[in-house]
Amino acid sequence: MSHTPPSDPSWFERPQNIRRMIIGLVVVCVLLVLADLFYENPHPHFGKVETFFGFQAWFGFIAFVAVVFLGTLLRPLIKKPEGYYDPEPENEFPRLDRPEDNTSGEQA
Amino acid sequence: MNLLSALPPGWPMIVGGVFLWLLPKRAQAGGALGLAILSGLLFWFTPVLGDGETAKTFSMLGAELQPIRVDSLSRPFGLVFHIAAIVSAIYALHVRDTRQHIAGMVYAGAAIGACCAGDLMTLFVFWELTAISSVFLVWASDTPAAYRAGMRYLIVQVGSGVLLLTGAIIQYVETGSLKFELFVSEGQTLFGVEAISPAAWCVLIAFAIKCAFPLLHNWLQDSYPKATVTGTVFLSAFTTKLAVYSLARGFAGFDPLITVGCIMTLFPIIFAVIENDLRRVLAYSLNNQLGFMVVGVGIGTELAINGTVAHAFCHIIYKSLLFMSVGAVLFRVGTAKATELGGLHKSMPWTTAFCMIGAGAISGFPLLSGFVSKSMIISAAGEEHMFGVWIVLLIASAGVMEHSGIKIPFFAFFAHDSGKRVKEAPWNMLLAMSIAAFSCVALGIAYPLLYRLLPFDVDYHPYTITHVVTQLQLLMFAALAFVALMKSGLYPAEQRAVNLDTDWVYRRLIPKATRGGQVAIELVDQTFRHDFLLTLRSGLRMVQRSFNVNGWIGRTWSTSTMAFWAATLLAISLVLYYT
Repeated sequence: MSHTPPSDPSWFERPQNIRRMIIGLVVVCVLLVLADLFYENPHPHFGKVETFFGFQAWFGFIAFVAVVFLGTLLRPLIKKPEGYYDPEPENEFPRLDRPEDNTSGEQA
Repeated sequence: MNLLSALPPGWPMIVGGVFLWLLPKRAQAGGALGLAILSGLLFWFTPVLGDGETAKTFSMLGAELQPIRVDSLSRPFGLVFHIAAIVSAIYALHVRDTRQHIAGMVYAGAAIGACCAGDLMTLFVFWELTAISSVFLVWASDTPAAYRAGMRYLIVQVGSGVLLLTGAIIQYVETGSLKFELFVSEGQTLFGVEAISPAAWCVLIAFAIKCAFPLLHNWLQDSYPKATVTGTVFLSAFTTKLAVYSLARGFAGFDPLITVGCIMTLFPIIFAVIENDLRRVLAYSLNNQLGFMVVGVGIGTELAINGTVAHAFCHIIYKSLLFMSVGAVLFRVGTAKATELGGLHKSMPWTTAFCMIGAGAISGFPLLSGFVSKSMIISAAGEEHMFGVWIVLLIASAGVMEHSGIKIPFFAFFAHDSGKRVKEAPWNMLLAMSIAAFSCVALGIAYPLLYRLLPFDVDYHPYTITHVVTQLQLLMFAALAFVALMKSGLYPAEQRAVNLDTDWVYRRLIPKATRGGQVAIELVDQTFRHDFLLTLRSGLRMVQRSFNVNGWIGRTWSTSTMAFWAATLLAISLVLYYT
């Protein structure tokens, strides 16, 4: 295993491409909300809510943020150092990336 | 052919699996794959019971048993279990560990046998067999932590089986029948809930444990991440989905399951946000997916049951795909912790691509399998006008996007470059992942093939404009929220830590709380032992003293003493006879 610093950024790691991807995502999101203007839900189950403009868009956004926020609130309550249950480091597997080592499997 | 049809489905894997050790080590993995394929072919040609037909009945010790019931509900589970067994066997082709091959095959075969069991006793036998065989996949990691986790897993699983047996016995005593059928009967209610018999309660709790209901769930997140790389792929497919099948068979339409299922979809996603071990994240994610299925069982309409079966079918494939991709990372890098990973897309491009297909499928992107199955359950909640349930399932869908759709691929393969450069996964792992990834796409596009397998004929069309647009809105805005949180630095950083869950109760609290009692027992025990040993020792000393050369028994007696005692005895007997 070689620890090289990321001096070889791939397509996904170049800042201009990351910016492009984010802009692309924003454009897609805007288009998806605007799409609500061009169709009508033939049989909504919950009339007022489901047909609200861009309902699932902003609902998805808020739900996602809420889940992450609850996670951050939960963390201080349940976080313990890694050796809390088992004095030895938790179940780290032996490294198996030796060349052409397909025979020993997980027994190594 | 008659003999073959009398054997329970999955038997080639159970019987053949037990004898795998006879093969040379290099051939065992291939042998296991062969058994899975053979069993799959036999199952495909097993005749399916039509409506109104009943399975063959055997009498044993006065009880009527139906060991084989392949009908429209058990067949899709049997099929997908076979697919999972075959894919997992390919994924494990490089493994040279006899234990794991035997355990994997027997486990898969037992799960298939269980979902085709027509009576509670047969179900119990296979139920316990899945528990006993699968624990070896955890133990095979050969670490002390895995050994202890395996022990906890075994206790929980066998406990579930004992409850099932209890339920079966009560049922037999009360009704004289062991048939495994719907336990919920219309009409009778208790506190506004359908009343079910005590036997049914035992069986329900047995299923609830295996299905990882809230507060009974933690065996899953405890043991699965500690199993071997290939073992976890096996584990992820069978146990919990067998429980979903059993719930669908026995408790369809049991209302409390809706509430339980809703809680189950919500709480694991919050734990998944802050979990560092990616296999544990997947275990929480698995728990959340089970929640969707339990909601479907609870609603119990034809659409909901179809949705549950379809979702279980798709879920087994994409979940094993996710476990396989994270397993490949673990296999190559040596860890599955988010803090240690990142930037692996450069060295494991194929694994990255397959993982993203799995992530898309579980999130429910159109054209992938999750979209056509999860939507049936959400629509079923809509059809029944259950607004709260519908909202919860939407929140849960956004949560799935968070932990499985984004977190898993992002932190393993992208994020900050960890600088780790490893080889791509071995060919057999890539082959297994490609089959699973292809199935995710195929099921998403050719969904009528899936729908034809479902228990009921329901006219359902997933690809309506409304559905595609709203689902994409939900997912893309969730992704947008992720970007916004990352950019603003509000997204919680991954941290090396252990997060407590209900297992804390039996791993820390109970041992600590019972500490006082333990001390008291130890004290009493010690005192008693001490006193007993003292008595014993003094007794021994007395015997020793008596029998040594100068002891009163051991020393040499003179003849006159003997003559005196003999004369005395004679005199006594004379007196006795005379009177």
